[in-house]
Amino acid sequence: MRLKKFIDKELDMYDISIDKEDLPYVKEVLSSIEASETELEAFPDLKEQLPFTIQDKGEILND
Amino acid sequence: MTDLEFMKASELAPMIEKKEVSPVELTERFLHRIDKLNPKLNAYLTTLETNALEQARSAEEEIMNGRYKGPLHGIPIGIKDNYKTKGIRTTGGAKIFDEYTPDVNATTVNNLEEAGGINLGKLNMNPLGAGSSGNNLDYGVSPNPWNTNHLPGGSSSGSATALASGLAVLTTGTDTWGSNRIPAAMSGVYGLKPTHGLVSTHGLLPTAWSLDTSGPFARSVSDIALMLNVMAGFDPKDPQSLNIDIPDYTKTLNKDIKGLKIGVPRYYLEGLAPDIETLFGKARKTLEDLGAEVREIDIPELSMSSFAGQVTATGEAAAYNYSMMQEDAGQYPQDVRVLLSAGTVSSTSQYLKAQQARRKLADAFQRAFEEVDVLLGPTLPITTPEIAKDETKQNLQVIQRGLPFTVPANLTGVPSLAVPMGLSSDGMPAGMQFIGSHLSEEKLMQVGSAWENTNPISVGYAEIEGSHIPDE
Repeated sequence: MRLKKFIDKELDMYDISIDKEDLPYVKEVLSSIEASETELEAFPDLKEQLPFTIQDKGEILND
Repeated sequence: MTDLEFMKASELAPMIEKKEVSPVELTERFLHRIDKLNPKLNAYLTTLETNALEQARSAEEEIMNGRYKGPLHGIPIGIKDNYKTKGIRTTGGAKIFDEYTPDVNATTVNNLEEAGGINLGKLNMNPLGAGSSGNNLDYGVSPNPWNTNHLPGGSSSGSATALASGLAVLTTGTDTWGSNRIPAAMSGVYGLKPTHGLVSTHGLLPTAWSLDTSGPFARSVSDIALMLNVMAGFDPKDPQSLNIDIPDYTKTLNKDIKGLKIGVPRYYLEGLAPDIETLFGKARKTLEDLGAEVREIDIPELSMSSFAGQVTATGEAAAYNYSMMQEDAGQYPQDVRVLLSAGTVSSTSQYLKAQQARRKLADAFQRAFEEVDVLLGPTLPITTPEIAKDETKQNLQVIQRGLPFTVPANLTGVPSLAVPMGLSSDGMPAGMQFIGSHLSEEKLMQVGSAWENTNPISVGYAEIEGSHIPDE
């Protein structure tokens, strides 16, 4: 229930309005993301990693 | 002439070149089949009868006048509906783009047409590429020709359905978290997710920019190679495009795989449906019989794929669709709206963590490819499901089961070739994927064609239920 309220509030903040019937499905996706996020705990050095970023080599070489 | 519609491009091409097969007659045969079968199979959202016949007449004239362009000249092709086509409706499988007619072609559409391919029409898909079920709540599902009560797999559903039912010789697809490979598995055809940047994505309706790839679909590895020869190449219009020499991908076809080292990540052996486990076990044995060294390896970083894939895909898709969602979220089909909403709500720190996980996974793959030549795993851990009533829930279920197996290639940018593995006990196709290091497509063609030569699916496409035209 709390997560559903959070979703509703967050989407409202972004000025997006969805059907109430969508909320359980959105909750399911977010719960799946949250559950899979726990797998990251096995890699404590993750925060040291340079994130993948879109940095176009072509742009750099053309400078 | 029999079963021309089920022949490979590599078989048709020499016949077309020798003027034994007319591109116009071939195109007419496909248009006839589309006319008869598409009302049930819904593979095409737009059929291009006039356009296709015009292209076929032009191809025929060129060939008759000695201007044969190569193996795709005069070959009928279906184009996934998220490839922009100049002057032709491009919906991305979603009613929100129902009346969208681009004024440019996607680069790959240009490539295929310049090679002499005949564009039969635009193919069905999960709306905006946001799904794995192959269902489409806007335009209706393109059911699986092997059994029309089953899902075709997505998002490139029509691309796979058209091939399995003989409604095109070749088709295009896109793959963001498995959209080429999942329908290839469920519909018993071949699909390639190329190295990121090898094939231009210019002119695709985006799903998630950093994961999207454009790639070929076919009924054989040799045809995948022929298509890739035409689709691959540097495109200055695509900032992610690689400026490299493109080899002839047909050169490694039919080479033996003796001594090839194949690694099976243990991660890909977890939670398999019994039929998938059995088929995969048999496949490993067959590859060993062909002379490959198959061994299990550990890539613990694969456990981060599900998180990184879901966050990256939903976050980028939400960003692209943000203003249209604000305007009227109700114009999106529910299964897409749900994913876009989740992407909107997920946090920036989660997105960045996902990108850090990608770096770590890419490094882990690189280490794995120092030990083995290719990786192997089932494309999906599940058998091809029947179409459920709650389509939104089913789409999420297929994504959550399938994505951990398919998205690692998208997250890291490496290529993955999906091939049929066999038939499960209910007679539906199941698939597996060979994953290679960056730009190792030639090796994937080699191992893929060696596998194809073992005839993994004993039933011919012309024999399956959905391919039969009533009263003919």
